[in-house]
Amino acid sequence: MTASGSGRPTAVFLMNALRAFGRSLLPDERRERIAASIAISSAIGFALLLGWGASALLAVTRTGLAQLPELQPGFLLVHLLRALYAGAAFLLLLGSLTSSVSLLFLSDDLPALLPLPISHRRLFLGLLLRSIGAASAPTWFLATPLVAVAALHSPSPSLTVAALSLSLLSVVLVAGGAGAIAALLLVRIVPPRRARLLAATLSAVGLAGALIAIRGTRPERLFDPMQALEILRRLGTVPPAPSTGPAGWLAAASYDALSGSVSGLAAAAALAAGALMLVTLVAVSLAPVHLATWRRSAESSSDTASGADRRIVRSLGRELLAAEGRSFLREASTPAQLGSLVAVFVLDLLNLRLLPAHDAAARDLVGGVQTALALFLVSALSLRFAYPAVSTDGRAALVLRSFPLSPGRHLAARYAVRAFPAVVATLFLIAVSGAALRLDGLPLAASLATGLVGALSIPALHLGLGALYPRYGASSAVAAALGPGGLFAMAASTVLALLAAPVVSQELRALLSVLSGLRLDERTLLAAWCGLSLLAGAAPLLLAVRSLGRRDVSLA
Amino acid sequence: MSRGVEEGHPGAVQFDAASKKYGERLALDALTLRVKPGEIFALVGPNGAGKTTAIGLLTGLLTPTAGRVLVFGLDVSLEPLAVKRRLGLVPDRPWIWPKWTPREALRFTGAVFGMTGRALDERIEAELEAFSLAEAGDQRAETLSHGTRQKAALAQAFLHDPDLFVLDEPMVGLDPAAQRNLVARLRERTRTGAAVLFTTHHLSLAEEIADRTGVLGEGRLLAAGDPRDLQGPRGMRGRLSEVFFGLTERA
Repeated sequence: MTASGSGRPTAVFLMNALRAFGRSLLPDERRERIAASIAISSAIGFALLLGWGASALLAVTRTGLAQLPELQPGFLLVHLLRALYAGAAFLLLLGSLTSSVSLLFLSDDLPALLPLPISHRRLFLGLLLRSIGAASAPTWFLATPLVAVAALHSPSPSLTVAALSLSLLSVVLVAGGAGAIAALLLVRIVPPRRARLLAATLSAVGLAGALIAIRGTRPERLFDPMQALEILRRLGTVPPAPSTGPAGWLAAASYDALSGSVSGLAAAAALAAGALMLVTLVAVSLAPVHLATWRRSAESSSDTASGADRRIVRSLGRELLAAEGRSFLREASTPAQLGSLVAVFVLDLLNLRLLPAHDAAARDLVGGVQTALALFLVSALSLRFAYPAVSTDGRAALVLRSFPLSPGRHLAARYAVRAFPAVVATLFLIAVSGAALRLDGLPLAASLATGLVGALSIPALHLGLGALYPRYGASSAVAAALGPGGLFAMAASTVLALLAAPVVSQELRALLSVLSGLRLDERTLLAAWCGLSLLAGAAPLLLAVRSLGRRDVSLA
Repeated sequence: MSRGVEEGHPGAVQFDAASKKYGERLALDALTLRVKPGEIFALVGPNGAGKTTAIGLLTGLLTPTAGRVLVFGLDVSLEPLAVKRRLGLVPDRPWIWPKWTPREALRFTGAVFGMTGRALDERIEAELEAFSLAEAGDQRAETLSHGTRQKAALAQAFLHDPDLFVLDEPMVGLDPAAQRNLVARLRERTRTGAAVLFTTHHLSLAEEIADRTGVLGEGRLLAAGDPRDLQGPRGMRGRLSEVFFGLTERA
């Protein structure tokens, strides 16, 4: 291979980055390739599903609107676009905050780039755009099918694609840039590593707040025809307020373009150019601040005399537990991901009030579903925190293997740290659900028993499979989890969670009995489920204990 | 070897009472030091002596709390770009984007230093060849051993024929043949006027290849001179290792 295509640094950097991205999508190693193929297929499938859903929704809306002549589709569309742009801006701001702290202050390539003869203004602009690009990738992914559907149903598809893409670009640049500035300010106040934790926590709290706020608007009203009609009348008969803010300008430009007007494209292009100019100006003026802040933070890390750990080591067992706890809590993405799961947890509890629990049969059914949902949450937690527990040792695996430490004992410590929060969260969720649904007697006991056994087994299943097929070379815990093994563990634990529903619910058991023609005794079913669940958890753990002491440690 | 530096001429590297404080900790205490064009200068000292801080000041990664640092007469704080154009740096931990190949990293470095087209391509091939990277040149950095990444980092530093090589622990991870090759190439470059400042913990290496050696201890320059004739405490002379321990244990 020759080094063809040499030229300007930015062009070479982009070309190298594109090639590197291609290598991530098509890795050399077979297992990595399977994982990448699954991820790509899932992404394409999700995008197609989203596009299909949007298309179906559009068709239903058109039919409905034809029967409601008093509603103005334009009013509804502008309201919708405004909400979408404002929502995208909010999510981008949160995403960019965390990614900017990492990229602008903690990335490994900064000390390699800074000594190169590149002006810091240019370097900072490049870093800022990379950070915005990284934070906006999910937004582009979600928006692409929607833009495609909008284009297919508009009088001028190319005009629509261009105008909507430029409008979204404006949102991405402004909101992403604002997140980066917020990150810069944050690092001026606290050191980068703490700032990253703080940013991740702020993002998670913001996201959780947004989810709960959306829940607070009672979207379930849309399932009630009378209430849905009332909402549509309110939005579809009152003209939107004049476009005074950026979201309004973008909505107006997009609406014009969707109607086939070139002025919409011109307005979207002007807004995108303005946003790009704004980001460039901000980058140029804040570059010296970034350099000074980076230097200060690099210096403060040299100055760090971290509080010495003066605990007395009492036993290896306690030390292993403490070490696992530290690894678990100090990982940068933990607060954000735990925060998101807490939001799901809160939403689940809020939903309890809305579920049809007016009679005993409905309460029994909901009790079963709630148990399954609690165990599904444990599956999600386990995929993220238990499956990659061994892989995240990374290079330390070489040293660990050289220690006179039993793999079984170490795995037990890893398990204890992950199973304990799972048990507490599951039992709390099930107990609150049980109280809200007024469950008692055997249904409540069955629900608590399945919750307890499931919360003990599912982390074991994930930890065991992750330890059987460790990926020490994975770049992060998430990358380690999203391989074929992690997806298999998630599928297996989801099946266990689903099977828990008929174990708890008499109504579901009756339904299954009718469908299968078998008599399903509640006690037998509970015992069988607990046995299966414990086996599914214990088998991979025991196999992993054998395998960890013998398998080659591969860091590739 | 070019030694013709006039008295008062700033030379390739000049630390003028340069100090660096991290919070309350004084990492470098009024370091005054000159490295002439054509000279190989070794900076030795125990861990935490201030070697990497000195390199940080020289490459613009850090700014001095007091004093100044000049490279070919240019103040690093005032004219960072002009200084960086003349530097070839190998940091203490060689770093290449994990999914890039050494060849791609070299192409980027060449482009940054204004090299283009066929001339750059030929130069890249020559550097890959010189550091025995012909095979590893097209493999992802994440799959390479530490030593091979170190060779790639060295190839990046040599690519644009810098006037000053700043090498932080350059021999770490290199096999004996690669070490010998590096020493030969550095000597060759100093014959045409380039200066080399490197840090090392291998005192024998400093003794073997450096024209002058500086011993740092707790941020202060304890002694500087010919490593074969360096003066220790109370006028003591001997092997560099004896002088080194005499100086640093006192400090």
